[in-house]
Amino acid sequence: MTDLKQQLEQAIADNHVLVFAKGNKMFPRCGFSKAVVEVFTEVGCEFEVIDIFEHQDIKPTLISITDWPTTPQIFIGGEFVGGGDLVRELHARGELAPMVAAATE
Amino acid sequence: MENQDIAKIITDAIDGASCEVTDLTGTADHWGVKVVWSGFAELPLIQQHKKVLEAVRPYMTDGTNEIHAVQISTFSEND
Repeated sequence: MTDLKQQLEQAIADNHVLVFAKGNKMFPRCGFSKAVVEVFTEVGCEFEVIDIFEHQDIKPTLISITDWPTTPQIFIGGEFVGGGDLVRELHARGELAPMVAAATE
Repeated sequence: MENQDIAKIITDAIDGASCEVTDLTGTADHWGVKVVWSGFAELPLIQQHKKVLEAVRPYMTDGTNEIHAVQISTFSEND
């Protein structure tokens, strides 16, 4: 379990914007995951998506890192931002793009 | 689980909150949850969502799994 945790933590650190979702960028397999992909496409930034179904331990390991029980989960600049609904609310308030910009400086 | 069950779980957990629950998909497991509570005014957005999520967490995937997903929106007063 620990090396998977290290791998996830490394991916979190290595990507300005990282989304743990059900499915991937091209084929999100859940409405909430799809909405997050759309939001970041709208913001027009680079973002990486990790499909939690790639390995059964990804979700429990992720939960052990963030203590957030649901997916999708979003990280910006290595920081956990929250779930899909939170990212959509930030975007609706115009706060998401500046957060992403600050993380990519 | 019905709308009012979820609303009660949240209003029991967050004293003084009001809560509106809508079934997003008609399958009674993807819920839209709008919570209004004065206490949110002092909390950052992520803590607001976390507070609502912790209330329903026992019913989610690492609990009884009656609730598959919630789409949370939080407000500090009725706006």
